[in-house]
Amino acid sequence: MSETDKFGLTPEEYLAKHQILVYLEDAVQQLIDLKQDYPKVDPAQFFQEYFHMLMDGNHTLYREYQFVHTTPYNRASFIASFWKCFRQIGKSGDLLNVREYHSLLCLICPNFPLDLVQKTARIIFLEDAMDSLTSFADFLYAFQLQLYYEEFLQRCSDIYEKLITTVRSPRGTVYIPSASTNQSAATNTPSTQENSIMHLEGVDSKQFVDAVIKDMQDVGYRYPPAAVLYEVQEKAQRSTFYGFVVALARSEKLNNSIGVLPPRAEVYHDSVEPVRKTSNRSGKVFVKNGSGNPD
Amino acid sequence: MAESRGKPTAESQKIDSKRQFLEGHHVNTWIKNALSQLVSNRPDDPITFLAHFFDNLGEDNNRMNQALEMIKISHHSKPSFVPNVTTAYEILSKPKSSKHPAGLVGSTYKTLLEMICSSMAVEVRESLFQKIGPQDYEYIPLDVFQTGVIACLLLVDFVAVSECLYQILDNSGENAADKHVCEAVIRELEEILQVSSYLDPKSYITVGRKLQPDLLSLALEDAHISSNSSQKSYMKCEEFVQLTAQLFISKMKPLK
Repeated sequence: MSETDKFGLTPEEYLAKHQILVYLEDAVQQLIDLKQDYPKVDPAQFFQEYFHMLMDGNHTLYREYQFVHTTPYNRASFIASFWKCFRQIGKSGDLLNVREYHSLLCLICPNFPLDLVQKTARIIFLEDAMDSLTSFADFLYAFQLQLYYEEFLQRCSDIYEKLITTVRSPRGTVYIPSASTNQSAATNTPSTQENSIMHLEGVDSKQFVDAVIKDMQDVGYRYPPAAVLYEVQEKAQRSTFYGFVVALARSEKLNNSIGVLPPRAEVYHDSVEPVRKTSNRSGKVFVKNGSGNPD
Repeated sequence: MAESRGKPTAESQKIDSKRQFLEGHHVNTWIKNALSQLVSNRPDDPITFLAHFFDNLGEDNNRMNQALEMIKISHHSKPSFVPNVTTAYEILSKPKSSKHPAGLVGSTYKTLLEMICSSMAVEVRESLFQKIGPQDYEYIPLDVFQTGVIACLLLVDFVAVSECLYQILDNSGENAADKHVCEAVIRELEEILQVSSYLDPKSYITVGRKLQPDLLSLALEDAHISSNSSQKSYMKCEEFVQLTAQLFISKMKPLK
């Protein structure tokens, strides 16, 4: 980020971008809570410890889910903590089911919702499978995607549903991602394509990804880099929603862009420490259309 | 969050006591300062910035940091540097309370210099302090303070330049430059430093001649040939910088 960019923001925007107020407020709240138990707490020392933990990414351990969920940095730190705490389980090769993974998560976050673990399982098994067993690595990477990009996945699911219904009922509104940026989507009108699409599973993957990217520009929430989405899209002509999500969960590029877990091959190595990148701590990653570079 | 809600009066009392607690410990001021520093500096990694900010809390450290900030505002070659150092001196010599006398004590001065030189190796720092050597108990006048600060900043720059020089010498890029070549460079440096003197402008011309590319390359070539004939040995960046820094320090006049 260049100097001019940094100072182009208003102070409020800068603080919001890095979610600084979240942490300052949380620190003060924690201090007050702690003071009730230990009246002699030293605030200076407390702040030092708090921000050091924050810097090292250990601050989400044993915190409530609401806090884990607030910022992207918290989510990434939580994923890293989960991996660090339980990688021995994966190393021994044990397979666990959804409830067992949920219990593990509850050990480091007392009120972790079961719902999120179930959603993760859906990425792995493509169905609600409470008893199916899965390896730690599979779970970890699917979990990373689900937790870090929860809103994004929800959005994708909505867009997918829209596309599917459009394809099935030609009279419904056509979801045209962007007339100016995408010629193929514009020509993809139901009248010419409906018959061929009707009996195929899923949607045209390019159309889907274009719609998703168009949507992220409009909404401006946190999305994976466009390059990752295009890479996933290029692998298959057509994709179902879960096909798309599974491909995302397996994408090394996506894993790199989140930047807390090692490459899949090294996930059980003891010596590997969590990667700490500063660039991805900034909350939002806006993506320019087609360029594929996070701005 | 986890807050037990009592009756309205009890609750407001509780809030009051919390506010008192926070204000009594200057938490408000810290956060205000932290925010204003964040906004004026806009670091790329605000979390690390905050961690360092809160590391430096506490009355004494706070003044120290203010002074350090003052000194760092402009480069020591800029005209605004001198007034900044004077302000830093004033910040540090303000009395801590009515009980303490005004003035800058040696120990505080030393801590500040250590903070300026924090990037340097311990050995280098120690030999520097032997030269400028403030005693812990003595009071530091403004001119000594200025000279000391400038000396430290110059040394910091010098170390940075030496590192660049080493990077050029180290063509392997693995922190292993040829020892003989490094020694030759250090010898050349030593010679010119002995010749040059600020009292004698002519000495600079002599130095300029000595640093002529052909003479320098001759010396380096000699070193290279001798290193090829004898056993290969390497010098690390830290070692090189330490040796060059010693040259710099030996050139300084002791402040006593």
